[in-house]
Amino acid sequence: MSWLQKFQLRFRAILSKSKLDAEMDEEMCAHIEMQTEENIAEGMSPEQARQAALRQFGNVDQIKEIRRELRGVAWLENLVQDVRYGARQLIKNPGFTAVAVLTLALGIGANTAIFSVVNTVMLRPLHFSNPDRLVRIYSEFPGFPNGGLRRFSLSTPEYLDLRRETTSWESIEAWQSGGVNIAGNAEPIRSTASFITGGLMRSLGGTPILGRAIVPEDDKPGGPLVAGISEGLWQRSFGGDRNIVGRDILLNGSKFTVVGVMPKEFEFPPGALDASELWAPMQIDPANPGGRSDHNLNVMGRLRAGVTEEQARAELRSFVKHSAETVSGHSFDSTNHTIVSYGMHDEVVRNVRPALRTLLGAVGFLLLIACVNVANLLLSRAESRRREIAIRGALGAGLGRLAVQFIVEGILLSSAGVVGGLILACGWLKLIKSATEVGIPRAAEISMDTHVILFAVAVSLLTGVVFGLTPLAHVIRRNLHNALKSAASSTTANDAVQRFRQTLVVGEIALALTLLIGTGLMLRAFWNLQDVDAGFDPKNVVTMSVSLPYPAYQGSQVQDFWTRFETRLESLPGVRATALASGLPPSYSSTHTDTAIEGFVPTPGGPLQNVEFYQSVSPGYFNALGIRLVAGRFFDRRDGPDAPEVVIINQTMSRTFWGKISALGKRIRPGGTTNWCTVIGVIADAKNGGLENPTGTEVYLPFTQPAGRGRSGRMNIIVRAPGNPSPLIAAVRSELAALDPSLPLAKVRTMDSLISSAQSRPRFLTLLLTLFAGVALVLATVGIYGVISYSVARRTKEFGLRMALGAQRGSVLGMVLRRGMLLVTRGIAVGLIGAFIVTRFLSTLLFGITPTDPATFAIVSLALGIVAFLATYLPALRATKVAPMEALRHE
Amino acid sequence: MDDEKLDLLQGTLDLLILKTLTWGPQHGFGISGHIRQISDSVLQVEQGSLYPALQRLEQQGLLGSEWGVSDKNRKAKYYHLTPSGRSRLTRETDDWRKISKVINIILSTP
Repeated sequence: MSWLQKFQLRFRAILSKSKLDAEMDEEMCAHIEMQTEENIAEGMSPEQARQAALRQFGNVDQIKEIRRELRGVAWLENLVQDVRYGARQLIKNPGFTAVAVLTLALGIGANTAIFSVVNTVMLRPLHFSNPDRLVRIYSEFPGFPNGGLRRFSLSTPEYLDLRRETTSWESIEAWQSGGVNIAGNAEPIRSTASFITGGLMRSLGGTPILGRAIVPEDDKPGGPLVAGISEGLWQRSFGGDRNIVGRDILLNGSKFTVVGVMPKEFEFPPGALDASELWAPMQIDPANPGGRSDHNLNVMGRLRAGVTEEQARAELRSFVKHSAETVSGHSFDSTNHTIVSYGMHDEVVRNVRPALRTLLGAVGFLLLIACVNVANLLLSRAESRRREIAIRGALGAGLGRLAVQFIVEGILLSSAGVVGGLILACGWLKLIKSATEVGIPRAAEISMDTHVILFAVAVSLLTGVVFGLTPLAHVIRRNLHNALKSAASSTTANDAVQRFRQTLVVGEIALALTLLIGTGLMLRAFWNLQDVDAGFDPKNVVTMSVSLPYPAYQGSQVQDFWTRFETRLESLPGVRATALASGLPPSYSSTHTDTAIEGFVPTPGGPLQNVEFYQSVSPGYFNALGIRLVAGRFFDRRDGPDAPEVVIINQTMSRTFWGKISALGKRIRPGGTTNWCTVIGVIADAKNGGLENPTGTEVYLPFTQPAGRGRSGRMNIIVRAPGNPSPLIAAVRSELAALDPSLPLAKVRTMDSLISSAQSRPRFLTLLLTLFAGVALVLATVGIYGVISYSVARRTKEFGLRMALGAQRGSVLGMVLRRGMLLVTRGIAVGLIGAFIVTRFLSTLLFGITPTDPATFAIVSLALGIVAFLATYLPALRATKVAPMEALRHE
Repeated sequence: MDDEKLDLLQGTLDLLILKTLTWGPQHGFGISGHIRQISDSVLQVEQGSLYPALQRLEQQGLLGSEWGVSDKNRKAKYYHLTPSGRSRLTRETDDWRKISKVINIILSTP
């Protein structure tokens, strides 16, 4: 027979299965009838003859099964049959199916959602050409307080040295980002721009969708000012005008010519909270680069082909050494001022990595718990299906066939689970993406791509196969014949299976406890964060930001504008207090400015002459924010532009440099100025640089005096009302427009919402963890309940017998409870050990609590113990309600 | 089952089926009856082996089949040898002769 004929035969076999089966039946029937006739001819009665013929023929079904498999396409036929059979089984037990599918969906849904985030944020490469060759380069000051000043920017001279003296990088580029006023089209807007060195776009491989990119030729000092804008800005502010290239816009009051539009994927700097929408050349003048200690450049590099990150770091170390020997003044050196580099992508996701890892761990635990539950469900169903399994075995289904059947059922369940899971995942993702305040880098890109779908399908297939097969394990243990026998009397329980199920429950409790303790720690850390004394009163305060563009505003114009603006605001009805400040709590980024402290002798290992926060404020600042005065006085009219220069410092600053001695009357000289300023007041610590961080050293300068003037180009306006401050915003806006209609009012926020945003990341992480842990707790409870109920149901006869023989209800109750609580205590013990090992990975996320906080461990264990007790108590109570006679009749 | 009746050696059933069909097309019942008759009821063909064997031989192209009517006017599936079945029989018969000769020699060696 040729292969073609064979193929036809097999193909026919698939298409006409029922026809072939019918022929097979007919052929064998004919055989039996012929045998019957022969038997009759030999003298048997028709009835006897038929019985004898059947006996002689043997097991018809087994022969049929063998012959079907011989057809060669049996596997396909069987599969179709198994799927149909499995689906029928699942539909027949809607309760079981619903619980199993829901459980799996919960597990798979949470995992798919978190994996989507991890996939987008951590795994998907940045949208630049060869992004794995890009590195960030930072300077660091390891000697600074609280573990040193890490990942700091470089000064322009340092950057130029680095470019000139190193060879590991194809190019080293720099940028500065900041808020800008953009005018020249309709209403002025506030946006974020990055001023970049000329080679940056080429190094990233950004191709504009219109016009051209910024090129090195644009980066000549004094050259024409050009800008590339983002697709978003182009659409939003210029209506997607195809003739935008060549048009002039006003950027902070200076005229820039738009040369190109960059595509949506061009996100630079990547992962920034305020995405840059405009890029313009920085035009560094090498002849006049600015101060060596003026750290204001963000730096990145593209590694030369063949150079490893490690080799590049080695070159940085020798660069630092060389700098220490050749540069005088503010030079790099190996101990106090170093330079480091890290992979660009790692840096983008560095802030969220611990949180994402924690979430991934949490959902992993959740999935395991879900799997344990489903395995338990399948096991108890397998117990009740022993007879069915045995009969199918007797009817010719081989072990392989049974295994396939179970896997098919498992996969059917998990497929339904994956469908439910993907739906749930969409919900989770919606929740995650809606939390824009959390500032997940690349959040807009988060989506379920093919990787995610593959991940979900892989997870479900794995769970389907593994947990489909668990019931079979105990079929293999006993042979089919025994199974058939023992199916008759269910009291001969399979102890091994019971032990296995109990181990599953112990594991489940341990997993749930670990997850709950982790969540408990996060919750308590979050509460600690709520209890932090911010040092100011955030109620009924609204803040906004205004930036005065240079050169439209310069010299005394800046102070004049602010003074007039503040005066107008003060006279608004409904305003209790107003103030201006260059920075705002609670998320003001530190500037770390070198500051001379009069009479202060630095000691090795002691504080450096450096101040973390400088604030340029109007006199009303402390009053408007409700910051307490500890010593001396606030600024007032005496501290005018020509009066002696004064500063107010915070308690931390006073303690750091003068210890117990009063700081009043002492003098400091802020970096970059020549005049000494006298300390006239000490205020209580306020949380400027993050609620979770220790308060830094702070200096407040009057914005009208020389030291403060340089920091007052962009100011925050603080308005306090007796009640809800939001209605005042419109009035502030019209006052601003009355003074200068070209100035946008930006960042309008209430202080309450600023504080809430500052906590949004820990809040959101805690929220997600709490939700996941809640689901885990429910699943674990269901798991314990299920196993205990099942064991009670199985032992109904035994309980009946015991009670018939005089056992008291209490002793039966006690027996079941003891058994249940034994599992629970074992689970808790294992879980405590697990939590002890695992929670240390949370330490970077915790605030004001140690990862092994005994109180949290104890309380969570106790709580889980109580819930588990209830889950055991209900079925145990049922055991005592067994009527002895009924129980003895039970099967 | 009587002690005198022998179970068929694995693989020999195919040979016997092929041989039986050299006398003309036959149905399954007939084939098993033939084998029993000719072997004086010493060889017992299990239906559990016969029908799968018939199917296997058919799939290998050694047998063909069609539905026909038996002497007693009953519809039955008749198997017949194909040319490749015939040549297979010749080859296997030779093999069998050689092997049984060798085995006889070995067994008769004192």
